[in-house]
Amino acid sequence: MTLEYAPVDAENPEPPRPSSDADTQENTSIEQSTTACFKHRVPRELQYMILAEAGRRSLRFLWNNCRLVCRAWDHEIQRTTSRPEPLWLPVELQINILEYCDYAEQSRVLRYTCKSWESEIYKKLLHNYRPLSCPAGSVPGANGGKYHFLVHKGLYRLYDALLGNIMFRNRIRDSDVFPHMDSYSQWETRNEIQKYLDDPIILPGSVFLSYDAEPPVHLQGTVKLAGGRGATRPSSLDALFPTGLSLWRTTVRMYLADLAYYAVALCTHYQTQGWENVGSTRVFNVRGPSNFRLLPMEWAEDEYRLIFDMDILTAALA
Amino acid sequence: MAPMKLLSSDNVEIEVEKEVAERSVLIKNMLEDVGDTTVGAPIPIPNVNEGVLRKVIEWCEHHRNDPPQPADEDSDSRKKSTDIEEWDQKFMQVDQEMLFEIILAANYLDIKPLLDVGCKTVANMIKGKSPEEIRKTFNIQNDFTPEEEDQIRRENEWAEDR
Repeated sequence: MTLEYAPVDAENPEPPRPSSDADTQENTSIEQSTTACFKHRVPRELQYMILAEAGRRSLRFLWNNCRLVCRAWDHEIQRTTSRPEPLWLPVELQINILEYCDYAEQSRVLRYTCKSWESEIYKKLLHNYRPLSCPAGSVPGANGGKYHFLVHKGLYRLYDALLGNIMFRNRIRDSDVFPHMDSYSQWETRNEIQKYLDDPIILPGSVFLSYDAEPPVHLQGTVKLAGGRGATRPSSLDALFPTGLSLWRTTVRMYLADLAYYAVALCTHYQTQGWENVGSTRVFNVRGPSNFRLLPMEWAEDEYRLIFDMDILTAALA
Repeated sequence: MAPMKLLSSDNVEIEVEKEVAERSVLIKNMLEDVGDTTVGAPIPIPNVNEGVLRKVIEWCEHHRNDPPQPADEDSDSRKKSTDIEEWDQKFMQVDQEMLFEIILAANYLDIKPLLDVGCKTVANMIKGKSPEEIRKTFNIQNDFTPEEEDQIRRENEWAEDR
Protein backbone atom coordinates (compact mmCIF):
# COMPACT_ATOMS: atom_id res chain seq x y z
CA MET A 1 0.00 0.00 0.00
CA THR A 2 1.34 3.39 -0.95
CA LEU A 3 1.18 5.81 1.90
CA GLU A 4 0.83 9.46 1.22
CA TYR A 5 3.17 11.61 3.21
CA ALA A 6 2.02 14.68 4.89
CA PRO A 7 3.06 17.80 3.08
CA VAL A 8 5.43 20.14 4.68
CA ASP A 9 4.10 23.16 6.47
CA ALA A 10 3.99 25.17 3.24
CA GLU A 11 0.63 23.59 2.53
CA ASN A 12 -0.79 25.17 5.59
CA PRO A 13 0.94 28.41 6.22
CA GLU A 14 -1.80 29.71 8.45
CA PRO A 15 -4.16 27.95 10.78
CA PRO A 16 -7.79 27.97 9.70
CA ARG A 17 -8.98 30.03 12.63
CA PRO A 18 -7.38 32.20 15.24
CA SER A 19 -6.68 30.53 18.49
CA SER A 20 -6.90 31.81 21.99
CA ASP A 21 -3.90 32.05 24.26
CA ALA A 22 -4.96 28.95 26.06
CA ASP A 23 -5.31 27.10 22.78
CA THR A 24 -1.91 28.28 21.66
CA GLN A 25 -0.31 27.03 24.81
CA GLU A 26 -1.98 23.65 24.46
CA ASN A 27 -1.09 23.57 20.83
CA THR A 28 2.51 24.30 21.54
CA SER A 29 2.62 21.51 24.02
CA ILE A 30 1.11 19.16 21.45
CA GLU A 31 3.65 20.18 18.86
CA GLN A 32 6.46 19.69 21.35
CA SER A 33 5.21 16.31 22.35
CA THR A 34 4.66 15.36 18.73
CA THR A 35 8.12 16.50 17.82
CA ALA A 36 9.45 14.44 20.64
CA CYS A 37 7.57 11.36 19.53
CA PHE A 38 8.03 11.45 15.78
CA LYS A 39 11.49 12.07 14.40
CA HIS A 40 10.35 11.51 10.81
CA ARG A 41 7.37 12.42 8.76
CA VAL A 42 4.37 10.36 9.64
CA PRO A 43 2.33 8.92 6.80
CA ARG A 44 -1.00 10.69 6.31
CA GLU A 45 -3.02 7.56 6.96
CA LEU A 46 -1.27 7.05 10.24
CA GLN A 47 -1.95 10.65 11.16
CA TYR A 48 -5.61 10.07 10.51
CA MET A 49 -5.61 6.93 12.59
CA ILE A 50 -4.12 8.91 15.43
CA LEU A 51 -6.72 11.59 14.95
CA ALA A 52 -9.47 8.99 15.06
CA GLU A 53 -8.05 7.66 18.30
CA ALA A 54 -7.81 11.17 19.72
CA GLY A 55 -11.39 11.77 18.67
CA ARG A 56 -12.53 8.72 20.53
CA ARG A 57 -10.94 10.11 23.67
CA SER A 58 -12.04 13.70 23.31
CA LEU A 59 -13.90 15.33 20.47
CA ARG A 60 -13.34 18.67 22.12
CA PHE A 61 -9.62 18.17 21.99
CA LEU A 62 -9.84 17.49 18.28
CA TRP A 63 -11.90 20.56 17.58
CA ASN A 64 -10.02 22.91 19.86
CA ASN A 65 -6.50 21.93 18.94
CA CYS A 66 -5.95 19.44 16.21
CA ARG A 67 -7.90 21.35 13.61
CA LEU A 68 -5.28 24.04 13.89
CA VAL A 69 -2.41 21.81 13.00
CA CYS A 70 -2.84 21.92 9.25
CA ARG A 71 -5.48 22.18 6.60
CA ALA A 72 -5.45 18.46 5.91
CA TRP A 73 -6.10 17.71 9.56
CA ASP A 74 -8.78 20.31 9.66
CA HIS A 75 -10.53 18.74 6.67
CA GLU A 76 -10.19 15.26 8.05
CA ILE A 77 -11.55 16.24 11.45
CA GLN A 78 -14.46 18.05 9.90
CA ARG A 79 -15.16 15.12 7.62
CA THR A 80 -15.13 12.54 10.35
CA THR A 81 -16.75 14.44 13.15
CA SER A 82 -19.24 16.82 11.68
CA ARG A 83 -22.83 15.75 11.94
CA PRO A 84 -24.71 15.13 8.73
CA GLU A 85 -27.20 17.68 7.51
CA PRO A 86 -30.40 17.61 9.50
CA LEU A 87 -32.62 14.88 8.22
CA TRP A 88 -35.32 16.12 5.92
CA LEU A 89 -38.80 14.71 5.91
CA PRO A 90 -40.61 14.76 2.59
CA VAL A 91 -43.49 17.21 2.39
CA GLU A 92 -46.01 14.37 2.28
CA LEU A 93 -44.81 13.20 5.68
CA GLN A 94 -44.74 16.73 7.03
CA ILE A 95 -48.36 17.07 5.96
CA ASN A 96 -49.09 13.76 7.60
CA ILE A 97 -47.67 15.14 10.83
CA LEU A 98 -49.83 18.21 10.48
CA GLU A 99 -52.86 15.93 10.63
CA TYR A 100 -52.14 15.49 14.30
CA CYS A 101 -51.82 19.15 15.10
CA ASP A 102 -54.62 21.07 16.64
CA TYR A 103 -55.50 23.53 13.92
CA ALA A 104 -57.66 25.68 16.09
CA GLU A 105 -54.81 26.27 18.52
CA GLN A 106 -51.82 26.09 16.27
CA SER A 107 -52.90 27.30 12.89
CA ARG A 108 -51.71 30.83 13.43
CA VAL A 109 -48.20 29.64 14.08
CA LEU A 110 -48.03 26.66 11.78
CA ARG A 111 -49.18 28.49 8.70
CA TYR A 112 -46.17 30.79 8.95
CA THR A 113 -43.79 27.91 8.48
CA CYS A 114 -43.78 27.66 4.71
CA LYS A 115 -46.10 27.88 1.75
CA SER A 116 -46.91 24.20 1.55
CA TRP A 117 -47.88 24.14 5.23
CA GLU A 118 -49.91 27.29 4.84
CA SER A 119 -51.78 25.82 1.93
CA GLU A 120 -52.47 22.60 3.79
CA ILE A 121 -53.65 24.32 6.94
CA TYR A 122 -55.85 26.55 4.89
CA LYS A 123 -57.55 23.52 3.39
CA LYS A 124 -57.92 21.94 6.80
CA LEU A 125 -59.60 25.01 8.12
CA LEU A 126 -62.12 24.76 5.35
CA HIS A 127 -62.81 21.21 6.41
CA ASN A 128 -63.95 22.51 9.76
CA TYR A 129 -67.13 23.42 8.04
CA ARG A 130 -68.94 20.22 8.62
CA PRO A 131 -72.48 19.34 7.67
CA LEU A 132 -73.62 18.60 11.18
CA SER A 133 -72.42 21.88 12.59
CA CYS A 134 -74.48 24.01 10.31
CA PRO A 135 -77.80 24.32 8.65
CA ALA A 136 -77.98 23.18 5.12
CA GLY A 137 -80.46 23.18 2.35
CA SER A 138 -80.97 21.98 -1.13
CA VAL A 139 -81.44 23.77 -4.30
CA PRO A 140 -84.16 22.01 -6.20
CA GLY A 141 -82.58 21.82 -9.60
CA ALA A 142 -84.84 21.90 -12.60
CA ASN A 143 -83.41 18.61 -13.76
CA GLY A 144 -83.38 17.02 -10.35
CA GLY A 145 -79.79 17.93 -9.63
CA LYS A 146 -78.71 18.79 -6.11
CA TYR A 147 -76.52 21.55 -4.81
CA HIS A 148 -75.06 21.69 -1.40
CA PHE A 149 -73.63 24.24 0.86
CA LEU A 150 -71.93 24.53 4.17
CA VAL A 151 -71.96 27.38 6.57
CA HIS A 152 -69.51 28.09 9.28
CA LYS A 153 -71.12 27.59 12.64
CA GLY A 154 -70.35 31.18 13.48
CA LEU A 155 -71.39 32.41 10.10
CA TYR A 156 -74.72 30.85 9.52
CA ARG A 157 -76.45 33.44 11.63
CA LEU A 158 -75.20 36.05 9.25
CA TYR A 159 -76.35 33.87 6.42
CA ASP A 160 -79.73 33.50 8.04
CA ALA A 161 -79.99 37.22 8.53
CA LEU A 162 -79.18 37.90 4.93
CA LEU A 163 -81.33 35.17 3.61
CA GLY A 164 -84.24 36.10 5.78
CA ASN A 165 -83.87 39.66 4.76
CA ILE A 166 -83.77 38.89 1.09
CA MET A 167 -86.62 36.46 1.26
CA PHE A 168 -88.72 38.81 3.27
CA ARG A 169 -88.17 41.65 0.90
CA ASN A 170 -88.94 39.51 -2.08
CA ARG A 171 -91.84 37.75 -0.40
CA ILE A 172 -90.37 34.34 -0.92
CA ARG A 173 -91.42 31.59 1.41
CA ASP A 174 -88.87 29.23 2.89
CA SER A 175 -90.59 26.28 1.34
CA ASP A 176 -90.16 27.76 -2.11
CA VAL A 177 -86.45 27.70 -1.82
CA PHE A 178 -85.85 24.86 0.60
CA PRO A 179 -88.42 22.18 -0.03
CA HIS A 180 -86.24 19.38 1.29
CA MET A 181 -84.86 20.87 4.42
CA ASP A 182 -84.94 17.62 6.34
CA SER A 183 -82.80 15.60 4.03
CA TYR A 184 -79.68 17.73 4.14
CA SER A 185 -77.73 15.29 6.23
CA GLN A 186 -77.61 12.81 3.37
CA TRP A 187 -75.73 15.08 1.07
CA GLU A 188 -72.13 15.03 0.27
CA THR A 189 -71.41 18.63 0.75
CA ARG A 190 -67.69 18.80 0.87
CA ASN A 191 -66.88 17.64 -2.62
CA GLU A 192 -69.45 19.89 -4.12
CA ILE A 193 -68.33 22.97 -2.39
CA GLN A 194 -64.68 22.19 -2.86
CA LYS A 195 -65.06 22.61 -6.59
CA TYR A 196 -65.14 26.30 -6.33
CA LEU A 197 -63.65 26.92 -2.94
CA ASP A 198 -60.28 25.87 -4.23
CA ASP A 199 -60.38 28.48 -6.94
CA PRO A 200 -58.02 31.23 -5.92
CA ILE A 201 -60.43 33.88 -7.01
CA ILE A 202 -62.42 34.84 -4.01
CA LEU A 203 -60.38 37.70 -2.85
CA PRO A 204 -61.22 41.34 -2.53
CA GLY A 205 -61.97 42.36 -6.05
CA SER A 206 -63.71 40.65 -8.83
CA VAL A 207 -65.42 37.40 -8.17
CA PHE A 208 -66.58 34.81 -10.56
CA LEU A 209 -68.16 31.65 -9.32
CA SER A 210 -69.53 28.85 -11.33
CA TYR A 211 -71.67 25.87 -10.56
CA ASP A 212 -71.75 22.83 -12.72
CA ALA A 213 -75.41 23.40 -13.04
CA GLU A 214 -77.80 22.92 -15.87
CA PRO A 215 -78.37 25.62 -16.84
CA PRO A 216 -75.15 27.01 -15.41
CA VAL A 217 -75.42 29.85 -13.00
CA HIS A 218 -72.65 32.37 -12.78
CA LEU A 219 -72.08 34.90 -10.12
CA GLN A 220 -70.14 38.00 -10.70
CA GLY A 221 -69.51 40.69 -8.25
CA THR A 222 -67.23 42.47 -5.94
CA VAL A 223 -66.51 42.04 -2.31
CA LYS A 224 -65.40 44.96 -0.30
CA LEU A 225 -63.52 44.07 2.78
CA ALA A 226 -62.83 46.80 5.19
CA GLY A 227 -60.00 45.05 6.94
CA GLY A 228 -58.36 46.31 10.05
CA ARG A 229 -58.84 46.23 13.71
CA GLY A 230 -61.67 46.74 16.12
CA ALA A 231 -62.48 50.28 15.28
CA THR A 232 -63.73 49.40 11.84
CA ARG A 233 -65.69 46.39 12.93
CA PRO A 234 -69.22 47.04 13.98
CA SER A 235 -70.00 45.53 17.31
CA SER A 236 -73.03 43.84 15.84
CA LEU A 237 -70.73 41.74 13.73
CA ASP A 238 -68.99 40.45 16.81
CA ALA A 239 -72.30 39.48 18.23
CA LEU A 240 -72.95 37.39 15.17
CA PHE A 241 -69.73 35.47 15.58
CA PRO A 242 -69.75 34.24 19.13
CA THR A 243 -67.15 31.61 18.44
CA GLY A 244 -64.86 34.02 16.70
CA LEU A 245 -63.86 33.94 13.12
CA SER A 246 -61.11 31.89 11.70
CA LEU A 247 -59.17 33.43 8.91
CA TRP A 248 -61.12 36.06 7.17
CA ARG A 249 -60.20 34.81 3.76
CA THR A 250 -61.67 31.48 4.64
CA THR A 251 -64.71 33.16 6.02
CA VAL A 252 -65.22 35.17 2.91
CA ARG A 253 -64.91 32.07 0.82
CA MET A 254 -67.51 30.39 2.89
CA TYR A 255 -69.69 33.40 2.79
CA LEU A 256 -69.50 33.42 -0.95
CA ALA A 257 -70.17 29.73 -1.04
CA ASP A 258 -73.36 30.43 0.82
CA LEU A 259 -74.08 33.27 -1.46
CA ALA A 260 -73.53 31.12 -4.50
CA TYR A 261 -75.80 28.51 -3.08
CA TYR A 262 -78.39 31.06 -2.23
CA ALA A 263 -78.23 32.63 -5.65
CA VAL A 264 -78.63 29.26 -7.26
CA ALA A 265 -81.60 28.68 -5.04
CA LEU A 266 -83.19 31.90 -6.13
CA CYS A 267 -82.45 31.28 -9.75
CA THR A 268 -83.82 27.81 -9.61
CA HIS A 269 -86.82 29.05 -7.79
CA TYR A 270 -87.55 31.54 -10.49
CA GLN A 271 -86.73 29.07 -13.15
CA THR A 272 -89.24 26.70 -11.64
CA GLN A 273 -91.79 29.41 -11.24
CA GLY A 274 -91.10 30.75 -14.66
CA TRP A 275 -88.59 33.48 -15.05
CA GLU A 276 -90.83 35.39 -17.39
CA ASN A 277 -93.27 35.79 -14.55
CA VAL A 278 -90.67 37.62 -12.57
CA GLY A 279 -89.29 39.68 -15.34
CA SER A 280 -85.73 39.70 -16.50
CA THR A 281 -85.16 43.19 -15.27
CA ARG A 282 -86.23 42.53 -11.75
CA VAL A 283 -83.73 43.59 -9.18
CA PHE A 284 -83.45 41.80 -5.90
CA ASN A 285 -82.63 44.90 -4.07
CA VAL A 286 -81.79 44.03 -0.56
CA ARG A 287 -79.83 47.06 0.39
CA GLY A 288 -80.45 48.42 3.80
CA PRO A 289 -79.60 46.29 6.77
CA SER A 290 -77.40 43.86 4.96
CA ASN A 291 -76.00 46.27 2.44
CA PHE A 292 -76.27 43.47 -0.01
CA ARG A 293 -77.45 43.66 -3.54
CA LEU A 294 -78.22 40.83 -5.85
CA LEU A 295 -79.66 41.35 -9.25
CA PRO A 296 -79.95 39.34 -12.40
CA MET A 297 -77.75 41.03 -14.91
CA GLU A 298 -78.41 38.98 -17.93
CA TRP A 299 -80.68 36.24 -18.82
CA ALA A 300 -79.64 34.14 -21.76
CA GLU A 301 -80.95 30.83 -22.98
CA ASP A 302 -78.34 28.76 -21.32
CA GLU A 303 -77.39 30.60 -18.20
CA TYR A 304 -78.27 33.08 -15.54
CA ARG A 305 -75.99 35.87 -14.66
CA LEU A 306 -76.18 37.68 -11.42
CA ILE A 307 -74.25 40.44 -9.92
CA PHE A 308 -73.89 41.26 -6.31
CA ASP A 309 -72.14 43.76 -4.17
CA MET A 310 -71.63 43.42 -0.54
CA ASP A 311 -69.60 45.00 2.10
CA ILE A 312 -69.27 42.49 4.83
CA LEU A 313 -67.61 44.50 7.49
CA THR A 314 -69.64 47.61 7.18
CA ALA A 315 -72.88 45.73 6.97
CA ALA A 316 -75.28 46.77 9.66
CA LEU A 317 -76.46 43.42 10.75
CA ALA A 318 -78.41 44.23 13.80
CA MET B 1 -42.68 -19.21 13.99
CA ALA B 2 -39.90 -19.61 11.43
CA PRO B 3 -37.22 -16.96 11.30
CA MET B 4 -36.23 -15.05 8.23
CA LYS B 5 -33.54 -12.50 7.47
CA LEU B 6 -33.59 -8.88 6.51
CA LEU B 7 -30.62 -7.14 4.96
CA SER B 8 -30.13 -3.53 5.99
CA SER B 9 -28.76 -0.81 3.72
CA ASP B 10 -25.37 -1.20 5.37
CA ASN B 11 -25.35 -4.92 4.58
CA VAL B 12 -26.13 -6.27 8.00
CA GLU B 13 -28.29 -9.35 8.18
CA ILE B 14 -30.89 -9.28 10.91
CA GLU B 15 -32.87 -12.32 11.83
CA VAL B 16 -36.49 -11.73 12.57
CA GLU B 17 -39.60 -13.83 12.91
CA LYS B 18 -41.76 -13.83 9.86
CA GLU B 19 -44.81 -12.83 11.89
CA VAL B 20 -42.95 -9.80 13.21
CA ALA B 21 -41.57 -8.79 9.83
CA GLU B 22 -45.04 -9.01 8.36
CA ARG B 23 -46.13 -6.03 10.40
CA SER B 24 -44.60 -4.27 7.43
CA VAL B 25 -47.03 -4.33 4.55
CA LEU B 26 -44.11 -3.93 2.17
CA ILE B 27 -42.39 -7.05 3.48
CA LYS B 28 -45.65 -8.94 3.73
CA ASN B 29 -46.43 -8.25 0.09
CA MET B 30 -42.90 -9.10 -0.87
CA LEU B 31 -43.12 -12.43 0.91
CA GLU B 32 -46.38 -13.20 -0.79
CA ASP B 33 -44.81 -12.40 -4.13
CA VAL B 34 -41.61 -14.37 -3.75
CA GLY B 35 -42.92 -17.21 -1.61
CA ASP B 36 -41.19 -18.80 1.36
CA THR B 37 -37.95 -17.05 2.22
CA THR B 38 -37.30 -18.59 5.58
CA VAL B 39 -34.48 -20.66 4.16
CA GLY B 40 -33.50 -18.38 1.33
CA ALA B 41 -31.57 -15.20 0.90
CA PRO B 42 -32.27 -12.24 3.16
CA ILE B 43 -34.76 -9.65 2.01
CA PRO B 44 -32.92 -6.44 1.22
CA ILE B 45 -34.23 -3.30 2.87
CA PRO B 46 -32.10 -0.83 0.96
CA ASN B 47 -33.52 2.36 2.49
CA VAL B 48 -33.05 1.48 6.14
CA ASN B 49 -29.78 1.10 7.97
CA GLU B 50 -29.08 -1.45 10.68
CA GLY B 51 -29.69 0.81 13.66
CA VAL B 52 -33.05 2.01 12.42
CA LEU B 53 -34.08 -1.42 11.20
CA ARG B 54 -33.39 -2.91 14.62
CA LYS B 55 -35.49 -0.17 16.19
CA VAL B 56 -38.33 -0.83 13.79
CA ILE B 57 -38.13 -4.55 14.47
CA GLU B 58 -38.22 -3.84 18.20
CA TRP B 59 -41.44 -1.95 17.70
CA CYS B 60 -42.89 -4.68 15.51
CA GLU B 61 -42.02 -7.32 18.09
CA HIS B 62 -43.77 -5.41 20.81
CA HIS B 63 -46.83 -4.88 18.66
CA ARG B 64 -46.84 -8.28 17.02
CA ASN B 65 -50.21 -9.20 18.52
CA ASP B 66 -51.94 -5.92 17.84
CA PRO B 67 -55.13 -6.31 15.85
CA PRO B 68 -54.87 -5.14 12.26
CA GLN B 69 -56.11 -1.66 11.56
CA PRO B 70 -59.52 -1.34 9.95
CA ALA B 71 -59.46 -0.49 6.29
CA ASP B 72 -60.89 2.97 6.83
CA GLU B 73 -58.35 3.92 9.44
CA ASP B 74 -57.35 6.92 7.43
CA SER B 75 -60.38 8.58 8.86
CA ASP B 76 -60.20 11.45 11.30
CA SER B 77 -60.77 9.35 14.39
CA ARG B 78 -57.26 7.95 14.21
CA LYS B 79 -55.64 11.24 13.47
CA LYS B 80 -57.47 13.41 15.92
CA SER B 81 -55.80 12.03 19.00
CA THR B 82 -52.23 12.80 19.87
CA ASP B 83 -52.28 10.32 22.73
CA ILE B 84 -49.46 7.84 22.61
CA GLU B 85 -49.41 4.75 24.75
CA GLU B 86 -46.72 4.58 27.36
CA TRP B 87 -44.52 1.95 25.76
CA ASP B 88 -44.53 3.82 22.47
CA GLN B 89 -43.69 7.05 24.23
CA LYS B 90 -40.60 5.46 25.73
CA PHE B 91 -39.76 3.82 22.43
CA MET B 92 -39.83 7.20 20.75
CA GLN B 93 -37.51 8.79 23.26
CA VAL B 94 -34.66 8.98 20.78
CA ASP B 95 -32.82 11.86 19.22
CA GLN B 96 -34.56 13.74 16.48
CA GLU B 97 -32.50 12.22 13.74
CA MET B 98 -33.44 8.72 14.80
CA LEU B 99 -37.06 9.78 15.17
CA PHE B 100 -37.14 11.05 11.61
CA GLU B 101 -35.34 7.93 10.44
CA ILE B 102 -37.99 5.80 12.10
CA ILE B 103 -40.76 7.80 10.45
CA LEU B 104 -39.10 7.47 7.08
CA ALA B 105 -38.57 3.75 7.62
CA ALA B 106 -42.16 3.25 8.75
CA ASN B 107 -43.33 5.09 5.67
CA TYR B 108 -41.06 3.06 3.40
CA LEU B 109 -41.89 -0.26 5.03
CA ASP B 110 -45.56 0.69 5.14
CA ILE B 111 -46.11 0.20 8.86
CA LYS B 112 -48.96 2.62 9.40
CA PRO B 113 -49.31 2.30 13.17
CA LEU B 114 -45.62 3.05 13.63
CA LEU B 115 -45.88 5.94 11.21
CA ASP B 116 -48.79 7.25 13.27
CA VAL B 117 -46.83 7.04 16.49
CA GLY B 118 -43.89 8.82 14.87
CA CYS B 119 -46.07 11.56 13.46
CA LYS B 120 -47.87 12.04 16.76
CA THR B 121 -44.54 12.31 18.52
CA VAL B 122 -43.35 15.00 16.15
CA ALA B 123 -46.71 16.79 16.34
CA ASN B 124 -46.34 16.88 20.11
CA MET B 125 -42.78 18.12 19.71
CA ILE B 126 -43.76 21.15 17.68
CA LYS B 127 -46.50 22.25 20.03
CA GLY B 128 -45.72 25.68 21.35
CA LYS B 129 -42.80 26.22 19.00
CA SER B 130 -42.36 29.34 16.95
CA PRO B 131 -42.37 29.16 13.15
CA GLU B 132 -38.61 29.62 13.15
CA GLU B 133 -38.13 26.76 15.59
CA ILE B 134 -40.42 24.58 13.51
CA ARG B 135 -38.45 25.40 10.39
CA LYS B 136 -35.28 24.38 12.18
CA THR B 137 -36.85 21.18 13.39
CA PHE B 138 -37.92 20.18 9.91
CA ASN B 139 -35.08 21.80 8.04
CA ILE B 140 -37.59 23.84 6.09
CA GLN B 141 -36.72 26.97 4.22
CA ASN B 142 -38.90 29.98 4.78
CA ASP B 143 -40.24 30.54 1.28
CA PHE B 144 -42.58 33.39 2.10
CA THR B 145 -41.87 36.80 0.73
CA PRO B 146 -42.06 39.57 3.33
CA GLU B 147 -45.33 40.69 1.72
CA GLU B 148 -46.83 37.23 2.04
CA GLU B 149 -45.75 36.98 5.64
CA ASP B 150 -47.29 40.34 6.27
CA GLN B 151 -50.51 39.22 4.66
CA ILE B 152 -50.73 36.22 6.99
CA ARG B 153 -49.94 38.44 9.93
CA ARG B 154 -52.75 40.78 9.00
CA GLU B 155 -55.16 37.91 8.59
CA ASN B 156 -54.19 36.53 11.94
CA GLU B 157 -54.56 39.92 13.58
CA TRP B 158 -57.99 40.31 12.13
CA ALA B 159 -59.03 36.91 13.34
CA GLU B 160 -57.61 37.48 16.79
CA ASP B 161 -59.12 40.88 17.20
CA ARG B 162 -62.33 40.14 19.08
